[in-house]
Amino acid sequence: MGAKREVGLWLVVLILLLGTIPVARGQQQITLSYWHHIHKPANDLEARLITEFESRSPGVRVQVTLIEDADLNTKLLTAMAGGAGPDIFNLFDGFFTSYVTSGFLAPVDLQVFQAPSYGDLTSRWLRGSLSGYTNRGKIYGIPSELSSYGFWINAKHFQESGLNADKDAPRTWEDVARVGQKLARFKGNTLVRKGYAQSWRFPVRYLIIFDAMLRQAGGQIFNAEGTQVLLPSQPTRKALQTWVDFVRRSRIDDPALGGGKRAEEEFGAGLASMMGSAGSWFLPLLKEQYPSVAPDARVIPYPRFRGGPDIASDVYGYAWMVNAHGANQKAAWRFAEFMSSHQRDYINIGIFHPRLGWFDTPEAKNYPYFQLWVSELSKGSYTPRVVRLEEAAAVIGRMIERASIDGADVAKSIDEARQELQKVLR
Amino acid sequence: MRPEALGRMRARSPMEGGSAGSSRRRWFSLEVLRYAALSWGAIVVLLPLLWMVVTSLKPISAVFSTTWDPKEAEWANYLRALRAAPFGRYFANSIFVAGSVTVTQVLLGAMAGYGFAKFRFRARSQLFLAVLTTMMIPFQVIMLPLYTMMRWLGWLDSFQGLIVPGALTGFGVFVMRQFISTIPDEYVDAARVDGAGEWRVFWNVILPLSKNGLVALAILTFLASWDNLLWPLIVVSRDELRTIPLGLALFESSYFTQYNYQMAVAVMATIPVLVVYLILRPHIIRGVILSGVKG
Amino acid sequence: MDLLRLRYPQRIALAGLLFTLPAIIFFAIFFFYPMVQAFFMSLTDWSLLRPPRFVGLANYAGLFSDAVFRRSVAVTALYVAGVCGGAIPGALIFAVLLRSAHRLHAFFEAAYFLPTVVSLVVVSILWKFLLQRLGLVNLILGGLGVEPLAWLASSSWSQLAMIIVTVWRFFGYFVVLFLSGLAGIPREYEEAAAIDGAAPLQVFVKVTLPLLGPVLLLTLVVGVINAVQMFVPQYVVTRGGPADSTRVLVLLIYETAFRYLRMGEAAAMSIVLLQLLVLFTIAQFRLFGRVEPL
Repeated sequence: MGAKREVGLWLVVLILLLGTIPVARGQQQITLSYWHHIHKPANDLEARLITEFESRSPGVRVQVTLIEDADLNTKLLTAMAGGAGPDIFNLFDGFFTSYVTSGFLAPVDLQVFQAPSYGDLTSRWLRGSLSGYTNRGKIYGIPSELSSYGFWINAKHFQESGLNADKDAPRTWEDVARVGQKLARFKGNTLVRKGYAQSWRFPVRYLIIFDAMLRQAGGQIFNAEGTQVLLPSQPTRKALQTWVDFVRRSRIDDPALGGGKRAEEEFGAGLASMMGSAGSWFLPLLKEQYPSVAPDARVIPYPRFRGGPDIASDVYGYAWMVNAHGANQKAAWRFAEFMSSHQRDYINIGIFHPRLGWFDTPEAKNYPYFQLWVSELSKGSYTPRVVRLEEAAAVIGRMIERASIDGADVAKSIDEARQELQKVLR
Repeated sequence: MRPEALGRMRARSPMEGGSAGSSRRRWFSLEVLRYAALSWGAIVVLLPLLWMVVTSLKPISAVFSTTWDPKEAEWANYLRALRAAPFGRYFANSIFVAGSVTVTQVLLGAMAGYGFAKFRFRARSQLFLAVLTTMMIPFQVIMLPLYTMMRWLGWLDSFQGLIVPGALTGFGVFVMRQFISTIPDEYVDAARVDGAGEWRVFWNVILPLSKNGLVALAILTFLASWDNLLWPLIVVSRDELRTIPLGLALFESSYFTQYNYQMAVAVMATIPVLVVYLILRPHIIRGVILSGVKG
Repeated sequence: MDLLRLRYPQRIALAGLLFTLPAIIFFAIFFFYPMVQAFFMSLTDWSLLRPPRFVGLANYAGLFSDAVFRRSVAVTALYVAGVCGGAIPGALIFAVLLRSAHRLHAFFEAAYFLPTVVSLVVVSILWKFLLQRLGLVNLILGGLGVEPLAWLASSSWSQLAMIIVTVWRFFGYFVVLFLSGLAGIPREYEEAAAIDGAAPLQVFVKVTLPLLGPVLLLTLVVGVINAVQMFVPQYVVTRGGPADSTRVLVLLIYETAFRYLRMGEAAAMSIVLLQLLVLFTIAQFRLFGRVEPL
């Protein structure tokens, strides 16, 4: 190699290495890093709102990082634990406890929200909606969503199977099995269209859905404080057997068909006639990504057990939270305040902020199935709040998969899950 | 002599058949079987890749169908997929990270390989054994402490964090030692006699003579670093630092119903590697062989 | 130490040491120190969010009674056995077939090796698509009259799927290795045996294979070490499911550390993995003889 080529090579190397030195940033500019999960309608709305916020707040830029919902908690925790977390993020309420007890969250800046006290701030929101973000009297999150799952049916499929979408809509899990059998389509011995698409593969969803089914069957996973594992045998067996039977008995569900898609995606793709893992936020997504199925979709109340209590699916939420170790906390809370003040724009895409009086707004009254969403929200319980939520969800998911996919004995799977959950609580 | 020519020469060897007549028929059917088997192997290997390309040009409704009209090829899928995520940045990040790792691996590997191959010093065999041991340590064992180290250094979510822990492997030292040990000592001695300092000997004599090994190691290192998912998954959270594997995995999980876009992205990620492969295949193969069994 | 007073051979030796020093220092910092740290980490209960707490060997004791960990070890062992048992003999056969193929030799070699350069993430994404219920694999099986299989939703089929994906990707790599190994065997040995009246198969088994011994052994060891560290197919295609049937050890360690934040437990898992690997490698060499890379 000639000397000139050598020098050239070293120059290239040097330049590459120099590229790692961060260029000095402009002094006045604040860049807020903001993490949010992937949900196209919300992402699009927030992009518009951010542009407006930036034009109103000179010197502040917001940089959004979108992360897959199932991975957001892991990435966020690892980043925070490494001291590299974002300034502000939008997080599922089930994870709140682990963040606040680790000192990651900054309490709400009362000045930005023009509230004299936390009590005053709480009173601006629906009663109890801030309890999930409160720790020792202080509030650490501003809710951006309150949701529970509805039950979605494809009216066209009903019609094609000689059913009436209104009269024959299932009210109980037993109905779901019966009606589902008429809706399911087979090719030979293989299911090609699900009667009812259960939610597979995503641990936190397993937890939310199974928790509700268990409550409907008369039991609970944990006690109210989240300090004890309950999982009583009889009700748990009923709930789990129902899940398993959809796969193995009435055969209206098959985890193989769809292969990793979310249940609501299968519904949108016409691969399922019924689905119960989507809330009010799903309608705009359905209209945008699955326009051919959207007109046929109907929402009905979540099934209960025949003769069982009138309990709807679990209620969950998301909230804006600010990094306690971030450098731009005031700006972050201003951003949260700005976004939160646009609740009416969010209602239009089916995302309800639990603000006091939100259901009196014209947007809410005009939202499809609005009364149903409100009624179901009032009948659901909050998702269990344990510090190790991901692990707990994985245990429940494992129990369900073992029993449904591997055909393991239901009682044995429950016993194993109970043992594994003890470890989670430690 | 090229292997094909050798093969031709040996085709009539006793391995393939004995005397004339019936053995000629046996030889013929053996050959047919051979090529049939080889062809089936090639089909199994190439068909999925072909399917990947075809699917990338289909509309979403047709991704599972067996018929496809080339005239209806949706080239727009590529544009739409590109717009869905900043693949350009992921690509640049991957090049920067893989390039940096390659430079350090080749340089430090060559230096250490030279030291182990051509010198005799105390503890040489122990040190070399230590180097070999690193090849046996599964990454899982050190990845957790490496993470905490990066955390302590403040190198999480940074290029340093991505590059430095992978900058050198025992493999690089091992390969270069093997290669350099085949260089006759006379060259080294001659240079020393001419008054060259040790560094000059390394730079002006050893490096040029081991060019083939360097290139092979560089290519293998680049490909391995390019393909790394686990470490970037641990170290990177911000979008600006994502490498191609991370970007691909994220794209797949958020567009997991849109197989045509997924395949389009997969094809785009494969083309640069394919080009490199077609041009540099002999070097890659040589690198593989070097790493394997010469000893 | 006065360098100029050193005698010439000593100076040369020092230079040699200096050449290796950057690498040695690097390995000390980024391999050996972490290894020691991993061992100490495994003796703690550490959630990353609080200071670590010393618990002695409690993590290890917990592992042996942990059904999830035991299953992961079993799943990993099955996977490694499947990959090596499938790829190595298969590649050997094809290498033997290929080496005497004088037509299209370059084409076949290039084709077989192609998957090895394609990114493993791309390969996983591709195969995830191919293994769908309505995907290409089931289409082909359907053409052969076989019912579509639940590749990604059944425990056993998922495990097979992982093996298939891995073998598909690394097959060509092994073929190239074996071609090179075979090329190193002088034809005279095989010809001599054939002249003595041995059938081609006998020649292969009695002459070729033993001569390939060191190559095969090294390939097996390298194959096992690499298969044990496989992560991408399981992460991208199945995420360890369904029902933990593809939750190989690396994936479990990653999740235990970064999803469940049990660093101490994850470290203990990795140490156990290391022990198993060391035991295996020692057993390999004891059973099948030594290979001298030096």
